[in-house]
Amino acid sequence: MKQDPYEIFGLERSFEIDLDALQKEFVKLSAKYHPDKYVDPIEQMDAAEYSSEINVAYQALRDDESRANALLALMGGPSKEDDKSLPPTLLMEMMEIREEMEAAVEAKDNATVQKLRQWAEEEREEYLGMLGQIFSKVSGKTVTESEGKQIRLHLNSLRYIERMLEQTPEEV
Amino acid sequence: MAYSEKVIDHYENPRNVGALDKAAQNVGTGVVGAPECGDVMKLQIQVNEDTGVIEDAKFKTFGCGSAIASSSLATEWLKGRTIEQAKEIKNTEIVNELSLPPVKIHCSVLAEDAIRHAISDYEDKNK
Repeated sequence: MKQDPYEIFGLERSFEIDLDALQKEFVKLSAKYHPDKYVDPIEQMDAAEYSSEINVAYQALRDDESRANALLALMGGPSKEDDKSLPPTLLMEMMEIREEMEAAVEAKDNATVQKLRQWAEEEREEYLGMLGQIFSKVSGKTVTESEGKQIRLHLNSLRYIERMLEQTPEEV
Repeated sequence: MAYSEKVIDHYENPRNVGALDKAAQNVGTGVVGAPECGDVMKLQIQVNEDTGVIEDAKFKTFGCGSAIASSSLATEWLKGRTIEQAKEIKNTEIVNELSLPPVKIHCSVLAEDAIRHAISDYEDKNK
């Protein structure tokens, strides 16, 4: 990401953001920098470039997981590549739950699919809650080493939950 | 991005999907994950205790086509090898065999990781 997405939308660097305000600002900025509004070819090119930055920034902030990743990077925390830590039993648990989910999908057992999706959605809320708590306690512009590690651990875990939800049908 | 024919073949007809008895003395199990995308992979080997040769290998992968193909190919390559030969399997060989594009290299890393974990689990059990 070239630019700080928070800066583009004039928002405070915070995990909790006003999503309605973000969307309104996005619509406004997209209209303002729409390349068709410019006649001068250089201005048109600049507008096209800025429009695509606005898009990237919007995608980064709109989704909770990607916003947390973006904010952690801005606050000097470790990236996924730098710190792959996970709670020790998480992969085993995910493997078992995903096998259970796969069997339920194959058997068209909608009740079990719903139960497991609900479990994943509750896990997601729990991780997001913990992330929000740690971010809200960060004082200053950067995370401490321990805050960075904790946030990264929760984000790494959350990815497996999101992946499960991405890869399972909403109903069977 | 188009998948190579070999990836599609392994994805549509994965070899050796399933499970071996995790508790058996001659079975090694590796469960690994890809932090980039959240894919999870389980790979198991069953070793003939007299010859040290891997006589069976199974996998279960929840992930993209490349992750499934990488682990399917890995189980094919593992069968008939000794533990020492199995340790030599490199993710780059998987990349070449399946023509994986750069954005999917981590899938082959995941498969190599799973092999390592399965072998070390087997070795820990049989010290």
